[in-house]
Amino acid sequence: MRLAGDSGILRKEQEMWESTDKSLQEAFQDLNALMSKAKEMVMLAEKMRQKLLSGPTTQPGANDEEMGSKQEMQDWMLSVGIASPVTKESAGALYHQQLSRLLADFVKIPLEKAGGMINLIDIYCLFNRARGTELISPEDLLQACSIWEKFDVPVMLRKFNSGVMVIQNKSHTDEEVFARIKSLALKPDALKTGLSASDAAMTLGIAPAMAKEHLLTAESKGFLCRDVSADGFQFYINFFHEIDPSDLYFVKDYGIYDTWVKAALASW
Amino acid sequence: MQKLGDLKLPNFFNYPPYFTLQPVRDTREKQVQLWKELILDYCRTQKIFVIGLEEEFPLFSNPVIERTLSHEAKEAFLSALVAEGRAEWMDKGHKKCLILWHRIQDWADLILRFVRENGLEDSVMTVEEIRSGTESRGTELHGMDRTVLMRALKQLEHKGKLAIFKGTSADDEGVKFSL
Repeated sequence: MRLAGDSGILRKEQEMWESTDKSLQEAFQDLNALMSKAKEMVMLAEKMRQKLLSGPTTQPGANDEEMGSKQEMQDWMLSVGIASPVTKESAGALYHQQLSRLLADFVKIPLEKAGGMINLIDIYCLFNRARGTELISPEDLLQACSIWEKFDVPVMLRKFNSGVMVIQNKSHTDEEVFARIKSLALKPDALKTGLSASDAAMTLGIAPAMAKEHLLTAESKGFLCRDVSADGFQFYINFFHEIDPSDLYFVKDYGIYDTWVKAALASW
Repeated sequence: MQKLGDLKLPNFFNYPPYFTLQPVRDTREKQVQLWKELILDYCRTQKIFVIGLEEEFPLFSNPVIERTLSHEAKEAFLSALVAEGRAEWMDKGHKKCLILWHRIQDWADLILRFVRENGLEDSVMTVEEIRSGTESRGTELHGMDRTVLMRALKQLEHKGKLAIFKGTSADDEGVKFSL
């Protein structure tokens, strides 16, 4: 059995807790005695504080067991009313830095599956579900992701005009997506009845919310325009710029307008 | 080719996004231009002078694709015409819009031409005769909106080309030309 290392620390701590527990019991039985015990309690608290503040810390892919036992101590101290010495404010930078690295690693696979871009909320769920315990808060996630730009990681946080936040591969370019969307919008069905977010999601193999963001971005760049009606919300390939206001009837050969006319003609 | 009354409809009239007010600025600018032209063409062909936003206007709906302009869209396109001087709001609530598919100046010129072509330089006519008399038949003046006609006549009066005077009955105003 190891004397040093995790189990050693835990065992020592176990002994400490047991003695602490005994102290507490005696103290509560006798208020006067409590006063004298108080000095002991303060010393104990100080020792615990030192324990928590010291010890090995930053390693990429930090030891979960170690973080776990520290977390346990913090939680226990909180429950007996002793404020945790290692608050997020004091160890904040460190905590989020560690988390940041963990996350950069963790998102690789989900990002791949999602096609290069994934909603922040989805990562929040996936990560916490994988953690099981010591769940991170949304603020933690946001802060950890914001730190990425300071480090050389292949992922980045991105906010759309609509407010939706996503994590994407740095190598992911919008141009690629627009090219795919454009070709989708030029397919016969899309020319006739438009392209909805769910259509795009299915074909591109991404989440509908992501597809909608892409469609909206393509619209803002002028590739698409929208059709809003009782039938729903669709996008069509944009060819307004091809039409000459001084000759409303002219359709340029082989342009997008021409392609649309030929495809849609059949249904009129 | 689809027609609406006597107007040939362009292909893009069946493009669903044409009936949704576009949010992206550049796209909207293009869309507005196309609607302005189409509205003027339709009104000119059908001799429509007033568009009521709360009534159905055939041009603002397309049953083939089952799309209709929203009130917001109608107001946006008509306001663009107003800004260009090709239309005027007839009320503060923007419920009725006077469409000047000929500007008042153009109408004035047409009246002058009509007068010269019919040798009416020194004669007198009632306002009604100008727009519904036998001489006006076959000309653009025939069936024109009375408000618009009065505006054009007033402009010409201002230039000293004619004088407007009240007739024997309330709506029997007359015009003395003096070109």
